[in-house]
Amino acid sequence: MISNLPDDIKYKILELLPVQEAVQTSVLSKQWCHKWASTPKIFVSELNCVSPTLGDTYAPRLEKFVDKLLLLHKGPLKSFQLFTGQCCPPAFDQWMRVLSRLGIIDLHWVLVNYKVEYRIPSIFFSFDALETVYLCNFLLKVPQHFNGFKALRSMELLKCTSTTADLTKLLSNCPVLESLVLISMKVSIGLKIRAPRLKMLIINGSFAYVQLEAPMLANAKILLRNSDTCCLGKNGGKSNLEEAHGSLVHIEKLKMKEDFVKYLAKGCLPDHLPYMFNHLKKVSIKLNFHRFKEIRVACILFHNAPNLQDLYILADPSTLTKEEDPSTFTSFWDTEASHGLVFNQLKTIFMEQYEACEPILAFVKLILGSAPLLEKMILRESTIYEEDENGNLTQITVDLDKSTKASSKAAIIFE
Amino acid sequence: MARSSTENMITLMSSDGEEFMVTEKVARECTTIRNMLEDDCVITNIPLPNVTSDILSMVIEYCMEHVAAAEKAAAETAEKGSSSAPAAAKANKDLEEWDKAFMNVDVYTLCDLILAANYLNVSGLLDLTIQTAANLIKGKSPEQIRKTFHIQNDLSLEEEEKIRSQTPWAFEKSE
Repeated sequence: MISNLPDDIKYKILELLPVQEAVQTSVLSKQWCHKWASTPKIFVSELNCVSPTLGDTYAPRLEKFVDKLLLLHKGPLKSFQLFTGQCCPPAFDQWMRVLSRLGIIDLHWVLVNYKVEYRIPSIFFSFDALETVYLCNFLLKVPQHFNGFKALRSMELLKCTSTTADLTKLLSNCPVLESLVLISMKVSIGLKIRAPRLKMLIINGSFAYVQLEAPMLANAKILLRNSDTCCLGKNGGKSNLEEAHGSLVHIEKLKMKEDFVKYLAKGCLPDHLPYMFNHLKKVSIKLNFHRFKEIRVACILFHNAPNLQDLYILADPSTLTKEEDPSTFTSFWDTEASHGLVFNQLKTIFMEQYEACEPILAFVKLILGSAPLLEKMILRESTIYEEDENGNLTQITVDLDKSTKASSKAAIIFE
Repeated sequence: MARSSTENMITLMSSDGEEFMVTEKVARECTTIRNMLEDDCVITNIPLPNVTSDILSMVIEYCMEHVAAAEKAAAETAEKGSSSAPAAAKANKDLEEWDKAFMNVDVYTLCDLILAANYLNVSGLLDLTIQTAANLIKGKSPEQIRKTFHIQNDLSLEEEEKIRSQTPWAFEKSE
């Protein structure tokens, strides 16, 4: 009989129900009475709440319901998830206070379509059992007496607002943080991440600068927009490249999207980085082959990544100025080759928006000549240039086929 | 599927004394049994006093199906070097369909299966049965739920009214 199932199984069933229906089970029989109030997980979402008359009274009624829900809950409440577009901030303060007493471990709080962002109350920063947190549309101001989230392993902030100082304070007080996602912060601020245990990082948005000190980081996806707002001079003479990548000795997968390479290329580039990326196997990069500083950044990375196996390049088509003498690019890559740039472990390379112009061809030839294990080279042309240079296409294919290949297995595929 | 003759066979004994011979691999799907085997590797006969023969035979059927599916996927991966995504997706879907058909049972059997999956610690089966139970509750009024699961309402009218008045919003009817 379902009523005789052990409590922990009843909780598991109740957790799978929309919260309103879970509460309703209280009237089934004595064995179900207030069982929901001990479920360790509560998920309140307007999306799955029964909303009889979606009108002006809807939000107050929902608020009252959540008030009661939290009041009646017997705890410990491990996980609280709220998805709302209508409830009002004064109610949130009250809920946060209650949650602070319930020993919350996992908090997801998503606000949708709010005109004014909600400043998270200071009491949030005293949730010291917190292990995972996901916040959307919040204003984060870290109080002066913040002892840190000692158990926090995963943090995701979506469309939040903060300052460089606040975010730095927050991030440098999470000693066991392993996973960090920052997407579309509303204000462009500097990002200083000092996280000794961080393994996974996703950044997406516009940031004034990026400084990473994350020696354990294995998997990073960094998408930077509007690098024009990025400034220099915050990092005491070090280049953006050194600041961002200097300590990533355990990196395995690195994705550099949008303007990130452009950002790294700013300022005075070092000749080489002091660390090797010995674990780096997979790189995905958006690169403008017509900009020497960007290809310098790529070269510095490639030089220090002896075990690179898989390379994805999105050739940036945004500035295809062909003012420079094309031969300078050939000599650039020749020089790199003579300085020992090799791709000893590279197996696949995929280039999107490939164009048969000198700067790219020079690079492609270098790869072919220096990657003894290469199996596949896929060059997907940007459609715009296919039309323009139809006549030349076959000639270039032949040209590449003739060029020196270090790997006998290497197949060049045009798409 | 051909089984190698060297594969260890384990005898599981239900509460009503029926014996089921299964391969060690199938038995290991039950974490509880896996732990027993790891603690005592010569054990070949395991009594399960909490599980009746009809329920045990269903649990074994579930485990065999899932072991076979995993073996098939592994064999395909070994053959082609990497598993092809569409084939893997189809295999997954087939298994899901099988699970769905497997869950076509009455509520008493469902509850017994939940208890057995919990006791034997078969996480896939536990998730499946609990989800099935939740789906049977979802969208129903308390009265409909009682009917579905044959629950006797032992609350007095006053008691029920008191519970309803604590969280009135939860009991508003959706129109």
